[in-house]
Amino acid sequence: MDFSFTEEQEMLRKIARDFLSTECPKDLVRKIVKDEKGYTPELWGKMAELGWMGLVIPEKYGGIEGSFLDVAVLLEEMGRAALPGPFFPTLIGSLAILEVGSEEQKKGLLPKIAQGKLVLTLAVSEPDVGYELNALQCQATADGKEYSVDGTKLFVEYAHLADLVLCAARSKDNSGQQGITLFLVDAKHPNLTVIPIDAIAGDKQFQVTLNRVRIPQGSILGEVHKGGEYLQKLLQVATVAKCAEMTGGAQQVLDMTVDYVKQRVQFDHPIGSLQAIQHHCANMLIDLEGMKYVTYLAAWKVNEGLPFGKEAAVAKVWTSEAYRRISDLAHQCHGAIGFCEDHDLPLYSKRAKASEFAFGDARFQRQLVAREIGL
Amino acid sequence: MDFRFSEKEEALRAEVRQFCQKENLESFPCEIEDEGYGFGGWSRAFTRKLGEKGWLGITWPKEYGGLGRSVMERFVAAEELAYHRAPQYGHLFNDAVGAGIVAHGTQEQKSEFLPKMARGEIFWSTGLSEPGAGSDLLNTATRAVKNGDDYILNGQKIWPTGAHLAEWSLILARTDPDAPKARGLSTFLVDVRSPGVTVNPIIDMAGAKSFNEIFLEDVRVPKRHLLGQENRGLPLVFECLEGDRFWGRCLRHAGSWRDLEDLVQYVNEAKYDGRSLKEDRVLQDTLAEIAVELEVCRMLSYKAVWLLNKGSSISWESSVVKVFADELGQRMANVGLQVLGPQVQLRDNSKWASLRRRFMFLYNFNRGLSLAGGTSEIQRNTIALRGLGLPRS
Ligand SMILES: Cc1cc2nc3c(=O)[nH]c(=O)nc-3n(C[C@H](O)[C@H](O)[C@H](O)COP(=O)(O)OP(=O)(O)OC[C@H]3O[C@@H](n4cnc5c(N)ncnc54)[C@H](O)[C@@H]3O)c2cc1C
Ligand SMILES: Cc1cc2nc3c(=O)[nH]c(=O)nc-3n(C[C@H](O)[C@H](O)[C@H](O)COP(=O)(O)OP(=O)(O)OC[C@H]3O[C@@H](n4cnc5c(N)ncnc54)[C@H](O)[C@@H]3O)c2cc1C
Repeated sequence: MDFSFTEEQEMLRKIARDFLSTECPKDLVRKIVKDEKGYTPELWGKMAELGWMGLVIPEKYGGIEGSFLDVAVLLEEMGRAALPGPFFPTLIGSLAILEVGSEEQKKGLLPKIAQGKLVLTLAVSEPDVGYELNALQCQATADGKEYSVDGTKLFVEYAHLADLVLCAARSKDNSGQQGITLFLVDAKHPNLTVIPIDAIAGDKQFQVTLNRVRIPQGSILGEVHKGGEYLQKLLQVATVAKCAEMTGGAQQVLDMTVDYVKQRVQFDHPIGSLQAIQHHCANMLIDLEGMKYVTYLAAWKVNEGLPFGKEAAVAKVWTSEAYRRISDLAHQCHGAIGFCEDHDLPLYSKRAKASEFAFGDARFQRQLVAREIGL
Repeated sequence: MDFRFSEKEEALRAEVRQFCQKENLESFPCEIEDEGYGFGGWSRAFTRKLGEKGWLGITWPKEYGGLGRSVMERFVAAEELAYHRAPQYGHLFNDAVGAGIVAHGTQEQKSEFLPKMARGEIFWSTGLSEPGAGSDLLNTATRAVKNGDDYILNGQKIWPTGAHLAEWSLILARTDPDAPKARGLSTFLVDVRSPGVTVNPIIDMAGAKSFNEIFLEDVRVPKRHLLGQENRGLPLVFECLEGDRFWGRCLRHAGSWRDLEDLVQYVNEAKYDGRSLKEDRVLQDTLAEIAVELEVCRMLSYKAVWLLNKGSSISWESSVVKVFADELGQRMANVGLQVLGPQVQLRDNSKWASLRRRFMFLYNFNRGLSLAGGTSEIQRNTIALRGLGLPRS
């Protein structure tokens, strides 16, 4: 057993933390969150120079060929910095291309992604569908060797910036997960409309409507009708990645709170010496410790190619609720100052809620756990 | 990062598993039926069996009857025993004393006690708490006065677990009443069969005879049974308790996972009001939540044992494990009773009646665990001060 990160991972963590604290200070985050673009090309370009978009991409496609644990380390730091922007969906998109893309797609797309020149996003949820793939309704109709896709997708992150939308659609009428195909849709296609959704944390979410969007054969990702099973796994990987990001955010919330209660004086004492506050902080640490290790366990299993469905669900149930509890206690410890829009804390506590919903909330994930334990 | 156990650890796990499958675990007479953690009770006979295998002193040096194996191996063995509900309690609660003797004992003390402890021939209790010194051990009033080659002990201890079954007790007593409170305490290895010692069992609210009170009246303890330095007893006790906190709690996930499996089986088979329980979404969620928490608990324990195995301190990490495990045990016992519900209660001949009795016992007994070994409040203080560096009031 070994809970430590490698030297390289520690280095990656340090570089990421230093970089993000200078290049992505909270004032900038607040500005970006309010701005409708939701990212800055300068920061995106610098992140690409550091090789982050190519972290999981093999060297032969212009990437760094890092491991999934490296990704977890980086995402933790991004969560800690409350970094806005389309890194996350681009990462998930590149994992999909890596896993099921054709050689041609890999050669064509991965180097561009690694250079930061291509933004991807994932379109799964629909108006009446969360992450239950069985219920997908978006329709792909065969037209010779090509397909035409119709439907509405919800919560498509950064669709306004994206170059390609990884869209899941039903290509066969069979019920269940069978008959789902993944398409790489040109986000600038004239028959595709993008409407912003007002989201709690100012994260950029969109409704994407596809109206007879023709998909050339070269843009089908993986085998026709066989996307369901893979998508399931991709969503589970994304879940673990989200947990890593949430863990970093929660760590920052705790650190921020501990710093604050050490210096805030009331009744002639730093409030951090009061037991009520100390117990709040202790509870935050216990929750955070749990978040870390269930997330690392799941990430390690992904990395090792071991089955990780149960671990991913366990991690998401725990991190979803623990991060929210941690934010709640942080607000309580901060008093009124943390209630101000200009304070850093709301950047995190709102994200805690947004992340809770991402890739299935605790309620959804608990059902997966229930199945795993034989119910 | 690597969450696999080593080959050596897995081999030991397999050996312990085989041992558990071969021995008829339920046939061993238990002096304490269960102890609330979710695994087996306290059995002298079974503990001796573990002694024969060398597993009681698994990490102790070979010359003192141990196996000289790693902390991680000890954990793996204990985890496997817990899952099989082996009545291994004696194995665990020898720990504070065993660790104290290994770390601070004289050669003579090591030779005198460790081999017998490793064989399961003698048992210990820890006599720390007193009526006026529970959370606040600094307030210890039991006195020890030097007299020739002996110390004379007077005072009262309360709550030592298993003292009625043990031959020896680790007693914290004040040796220097004039020194600042923390500096005048010493620890003694006391034979509770000595003249002047009275041990009275106290029945706990779960109906178990698990803890005791000990009265000490002019009890003679030879100087050679002073453990560690005179007046340095408190740091020694705190050091021993750090490990004790961990070992007493680190098996919650393993023992309770077994209970969860039983609950899942019950839900899958039972009907209530004409409906199959397994259709109940609320029950599914509730049990899934427990599964999630047990997994968190497991990982917290793994983190702490990994640190311990490296030789690092687990001062606040052991408190994290303890608070989490104890409070989870309470939640789980409550969930168990909710799931098993009133109907099992009414039918004593139901195949589930024993499961319900088990959860009723756990429900009652688990109330004590967030007190024993330092209350959850005290653990949270430790986490805040040591884990987060918050200022003292
Ligand atoms: C929505 C809103 C409306 C408000 N409206 C008004 C208003 O109209 N008029 C007005 O005068 N004020 C108003 N306030 C301010 C409010 O009264 C203060 O926020 C509150 O008294 C706490 O003070 P603080 O924010 O400085 O936090 P602090 O006093 O710094 O407290 C921070 C944390 O330390 C804890 N703490 C502090 N002292 C102790 C202690 N002795 N023991 C245990 N814990 C302690 C607190 O409980 C809190 O968790 C408002 C605040 C809010 C959020
Ligand atoms: C099942 C069981 C087994 C036990 N086994 C042993 C044993 O083998 N050996 C042994 O020596 N003792 C044993 N004990 C005793 C145990 O260590 C004490 O009960 C425990 O330390 C608390 O002391 P107390 O009961 O005197 O409660 P008190 O110290 O009086 O505490 C009462 C309440 O006040 C709170 N409190 C006290 N001080 C503080 C503080 N500074 N900050 C915040 N809250 C505080 C406590 O958390 C608790 O909620 C056992 C107890 C139980 C229940």
